Amino acid sequence: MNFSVRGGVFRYGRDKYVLNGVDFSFDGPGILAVLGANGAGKTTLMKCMLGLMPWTQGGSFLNGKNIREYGQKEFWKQVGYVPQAKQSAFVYTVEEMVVLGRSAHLGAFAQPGKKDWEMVDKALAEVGISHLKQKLCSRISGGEYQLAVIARALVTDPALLVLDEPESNLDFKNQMIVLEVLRRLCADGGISAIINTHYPEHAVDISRKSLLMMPDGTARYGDTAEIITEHNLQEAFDIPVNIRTVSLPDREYTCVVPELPRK
Amino acid sequence: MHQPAKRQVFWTIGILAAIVLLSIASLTMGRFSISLQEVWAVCFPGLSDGVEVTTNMKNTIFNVRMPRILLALLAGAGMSAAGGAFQALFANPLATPDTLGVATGASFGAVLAILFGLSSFWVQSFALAAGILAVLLVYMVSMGKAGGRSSIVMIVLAGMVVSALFSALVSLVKYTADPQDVLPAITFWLMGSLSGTGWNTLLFGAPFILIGLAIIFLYRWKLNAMTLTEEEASSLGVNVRQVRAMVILGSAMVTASVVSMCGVIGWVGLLIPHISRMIFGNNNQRVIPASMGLGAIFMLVIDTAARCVTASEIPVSILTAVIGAPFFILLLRRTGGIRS
Repeated sequence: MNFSVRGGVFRYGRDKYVLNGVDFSFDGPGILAVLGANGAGKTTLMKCMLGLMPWTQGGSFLNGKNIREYGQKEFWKQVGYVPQAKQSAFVYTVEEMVVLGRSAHLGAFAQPGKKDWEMVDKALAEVGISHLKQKLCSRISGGEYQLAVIARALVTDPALLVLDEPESNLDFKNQMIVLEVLRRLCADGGISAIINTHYPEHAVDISRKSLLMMPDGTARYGDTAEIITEHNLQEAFDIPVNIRTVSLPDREYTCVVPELPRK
Repeated sequence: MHQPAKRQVFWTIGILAAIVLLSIASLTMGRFSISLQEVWAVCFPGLSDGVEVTTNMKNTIFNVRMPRILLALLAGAGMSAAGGAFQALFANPLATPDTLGVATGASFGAVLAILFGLSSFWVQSFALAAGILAVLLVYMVSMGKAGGRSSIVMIVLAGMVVSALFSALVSLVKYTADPQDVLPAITFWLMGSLSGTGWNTLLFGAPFILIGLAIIFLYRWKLNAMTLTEEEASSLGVNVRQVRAMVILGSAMVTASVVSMCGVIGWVGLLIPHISRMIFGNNNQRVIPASMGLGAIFMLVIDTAARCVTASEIPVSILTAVIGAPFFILLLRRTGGIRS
């Protein structure tokens, strides 16, 4: 799996540039973390990347082919998208929600069949919430709902998962559960993931590659260890940061600690 | 879908049986009372002896009650399914079949034809045409400049505008109508009535309802994805624009045709889908068929009451609210509302 963006530019109106020259080429498997300050265009990048919003210039390529040349279903069979979790006006049970992920595989009038429900059971088991499948999405916790939405992206059997801030709004434990599920999927499932995150620590913890969005609309791309540095983060977030490694009994964990903003 | 199949089979058979039994019961009821044996004798002349069948009976059953009962079933099923589909499509529990102004448009067509003193065939045709015209207008308005993309908010806003426009035109027609005879006819028509339904009316209008219902039924699972945001639905591989256009078209055909045959019937399209959700949950795979079945039963009961309870006809819109509202409240208290 290769996913790349070449010369990506997005602007509102004539001269309001949000993204101005984003380039990267990501080879799976593994995780690519996208980092940047609020307003740096992370969500815009996600949407342009996936064709949900049009690039002003440049394009995205899946396995070397411009994504606009893929049919809608053909593309979404290979890519699973996990938007920021939001409840809909009508609440479904977890399994009813997850089976919607099979849409790309089913014709316009088709109803999900036995095979689709088997995929749902498998995906729910993979993210570890099989016991919740008959529950209403409004009656489970935020972390569980996030896992359900990840399962919905998994039932399409994608080569690439794209997640928009999957661990935001979750507490410590649920953040670790979600990240652990992603790490495991990318390790044994052979799938790749691109995740948008506000936590540089999470990027260091689970990602192989990082894309750091800069205030001028460009982005720095490379191995996570080379991108998540004190110098780069200070430029991207406009605040001095310290990176320290903490030894835990079972592993080393990298902490990113910002200093007080200078007046 | 994934729930015990037994329960579904039970409900399906139960609803179908109720439709058949209530239809037969409705055949016997009315100003001119006909017993069950007589109904049997009229329908199966060879299989009954000793029961006297008059031409009057035959005429009442075949030409008056049967088309009317069929229309009640179709109108109830149609308005309920269209309402349920719109609620899912606009991700809004308050949507009704008239959200896009189809019913108002159809009303305008009908009252215009009544004003001109045209025959009932033309009233029906005008209404049908104006209803479809209204939804096309909504679609054109909502297309806007944004490169042919129309968001749900734009569509609903355009629907409100078109609805307001046609509503004003209806008022204009009423204003110019002769208050002696034309205005009462218009007013009565607007309150909805199934009286005077003949086979001709039905044969002309039913195909639109049946095709519209088929479209909505076929897209019932896709409607679940449509309640998510547009981006989320497209990212699941759903062709949002196609599903939206088809479901709007199907619902518009149903609504315009129902209104063209029996005037504006309020409430059914809002009430029945919610009752279905309270019983079966929010999955549209179940909500749509359940709305069709329960809507058909509801309209049949209402219309039978409309023609039997008092000496003169009661407009159905009044009855749908008077009978529907307390029933809805009862169910709301029993089940605790739709699942949220």
